[in-house]
Amino acid sequence: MNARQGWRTRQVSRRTALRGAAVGLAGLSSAALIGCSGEDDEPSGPTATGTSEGPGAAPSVTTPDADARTRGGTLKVALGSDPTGLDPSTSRGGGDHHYLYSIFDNLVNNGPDFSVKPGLATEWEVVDDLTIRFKLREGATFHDGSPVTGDDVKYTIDRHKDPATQSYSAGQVQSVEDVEVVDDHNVVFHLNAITSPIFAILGDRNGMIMPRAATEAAGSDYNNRPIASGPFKVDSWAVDANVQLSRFAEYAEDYPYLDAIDIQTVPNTSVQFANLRSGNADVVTVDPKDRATARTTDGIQLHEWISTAYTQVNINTAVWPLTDMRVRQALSCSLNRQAILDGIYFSEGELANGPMTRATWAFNENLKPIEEDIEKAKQLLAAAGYEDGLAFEMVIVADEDRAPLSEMMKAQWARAGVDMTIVARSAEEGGAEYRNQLYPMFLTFFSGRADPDMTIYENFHSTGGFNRAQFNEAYEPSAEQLAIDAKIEAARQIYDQAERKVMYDEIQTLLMEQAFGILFTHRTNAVALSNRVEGFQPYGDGKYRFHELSLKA
Amino acid sequence: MLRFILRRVASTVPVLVIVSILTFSLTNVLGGDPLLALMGEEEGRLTAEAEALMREELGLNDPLPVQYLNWLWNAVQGDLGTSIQTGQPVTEALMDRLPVTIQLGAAAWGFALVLAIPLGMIAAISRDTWKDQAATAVALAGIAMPSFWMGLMLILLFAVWLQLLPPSGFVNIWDDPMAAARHLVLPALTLGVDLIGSVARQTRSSMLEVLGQDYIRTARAKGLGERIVLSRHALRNAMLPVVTVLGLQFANLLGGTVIIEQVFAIPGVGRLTLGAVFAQDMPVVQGAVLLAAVATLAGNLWADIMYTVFDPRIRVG
Repeated sequence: MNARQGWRTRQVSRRTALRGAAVGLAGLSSAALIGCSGEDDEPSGPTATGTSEGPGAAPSVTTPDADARTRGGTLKVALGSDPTGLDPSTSRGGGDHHYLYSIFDNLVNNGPDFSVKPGLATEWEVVDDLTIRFKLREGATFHDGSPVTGDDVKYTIDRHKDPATQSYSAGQVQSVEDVEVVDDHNVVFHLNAITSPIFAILGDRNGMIMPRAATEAAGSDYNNRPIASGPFKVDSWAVDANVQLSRFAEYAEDYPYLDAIDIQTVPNTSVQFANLRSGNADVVTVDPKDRATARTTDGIQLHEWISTAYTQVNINTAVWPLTDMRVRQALSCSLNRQAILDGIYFSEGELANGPMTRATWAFNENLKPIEEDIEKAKQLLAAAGYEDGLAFEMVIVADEDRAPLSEMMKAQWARAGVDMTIVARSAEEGGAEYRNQLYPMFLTFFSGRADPDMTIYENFHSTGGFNRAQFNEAYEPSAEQLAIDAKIEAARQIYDQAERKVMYDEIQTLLMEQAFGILFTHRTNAVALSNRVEGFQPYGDGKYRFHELSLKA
Repeated sequence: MLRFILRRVASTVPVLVIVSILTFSLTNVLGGDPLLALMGEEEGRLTAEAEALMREELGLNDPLPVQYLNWLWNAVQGDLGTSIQTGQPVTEALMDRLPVTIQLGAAAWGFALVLAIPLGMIAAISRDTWKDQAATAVALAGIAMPSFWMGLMLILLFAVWLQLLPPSGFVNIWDDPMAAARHLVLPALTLGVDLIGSVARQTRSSMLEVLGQDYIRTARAKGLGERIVLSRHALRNAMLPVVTVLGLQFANLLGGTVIIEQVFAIPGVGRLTLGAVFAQDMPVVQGAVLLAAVATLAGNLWADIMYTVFDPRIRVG
């Protein structure tokens, strides 16, 4: 598979070279692909109990060569956009995490492969299906010097749930009925429904702990200069210019390594790269279209790894004839996904075999991407009563990927007698018009989530938030849909990762075979670093953890 | 003179009202829901209760004419509303950004004056020689080249290859004048290149016209040195149409900042405007367009005043 050639790490320290060797040996296992080093080999996933791997204020990912890491210096970063906010509740952009993860400590952390890692909580225990106890690290303080207490954890969750906060992440913690503060260092989460993704959720915005006193005192200004307990504090945020972070000295004696992080907002990707090449930036993201150039650029480090994002056509299964599984299957198998990967995505990424990518533990390595078979498509359409062909409209977001992609799909579908009309819209209108049942199909992508339930339930359950069929008055879930619903609900009832994996493997197989979605590709992330950067660790979620980095003297 | 200025200022008020109505209607006719824009393509993450609360707070439930009149009433009192995206007062956002754009625009204007007028003069004096052709070619290239592309080329040359100047960013002139200048050179040159082209061409043609006039022949006949003839007699009279171009191009310059600030990552009004348009952040778009209208009118007013400097006859009229 040519896409795999993309995952490589150029130039690089002995350590990364060793890691590269491990990749080969590990036979491209998911953990190796996303560049885990040895210390992540511990059992992953929310087992009955979890423990910290180190004493005191250990960072989420400890580094075996920590003593060899140089301390000090200012890391210069060029990112494409400002954060939408620095308040974990009201910020809403996928790029905000690049900032938030260095400023906030999470209750637990999502590891590079989405396994659960200690955060402010060093230990946790699933007491029963609806009760989870967390033990907080002793001695942790917020940037204003106040201690991190159980009450702050309760405050954080309550604040998300309060409609007055207008939190974009409120939906994720609706199943948290109450956070019981046992004492300063122990809290118990009482759930009103089994929530297997709870650890992944707490590794994201909802678990970024905010101090009750300082947050209430700051009011709406909290969004600009939040007080938190992470390794870096916010010095300033000049909108459209930069965010400046400095080391939180009380975080730990020997961590973080950097003195400061200066994140410049540079909208144009070519200019970002120019900043790297001219020594004005140490970290920049590399777009698929610029990857080939980046690979041949000397004097930089390039890391490429698989992301959780996939590209797809959303299918409204409430709309006739898409209610008929055979029609959906015909649409799915009349596409040439390899041509799409090569022609539209510059061969960057991998053919999608399901909604879970190699970035997560729920990737189904035995599932093959749907293969092109025009004859079969014609037979399926004939069986469904469309031997003379079929016509429908598909709404797209007219951006540089999807405009040509839709043209290619139109041509590919035409071979099976399917006449598709392209309806181009802006991102917001496209989504809204699809939801409002104006069009039966929407060419889109999904950024992916830390836990398979968050992706699969929301997109493929008959009541999932992104399943727009549910907004159709005529919607009656088919027998196949109900069967899948039952499996998705069952997988949700389990905390054991290995058991869940088996169930998600089956669910994904059904989703693809019965064409509840037409997926094309799994995307890859790429970052270019200056040669002085050390300690870069790619995470499956594609978000940077700048606080883990150091600079060579 | 004061009355002349006051009259001109008063006449701009109806223009501003019309501009604001047009912007308001256009943005709304084009459709789109600012709340959807806020949430992006994967919308639906805000709980229904929070969404309703937000709509109410932002006044999005009012009928459009009511929304417009509310806005106008507040605007007259100096309150342009608050940004939907950031919650910052629009007036404050614009005032934060304006000094940045003024520094950029002034530098671009400076480049145009310092480079374009001599270029145009050389071309006129040495008409039909290689110097004229070279100057005309430079001017035409300046007009024809897309500023976006030219900016990227300048970054490649001066920042990546020669490593003489920073590729992007902005430093306030009061904080560090030297760093500010280094950061301004490339964007100002890119922004000004179109202006340089048109001013050089205008200078050339009006110099040629002036140089053919009788009083130039008289001046030469009096035995004045060529330098005096050119600077005191020709240039001053040739400046009138050039001033017109400079004044009218003021609006273009402001329009150019939308692209240039994006390329060079400069936190000015142009960037603010572009971001607001994409986010359908109506109050900010309204405020920015109003500011642009004011700036354009100010550019014209400046040109009018400069006429009186160069041609005292206008002062009487």
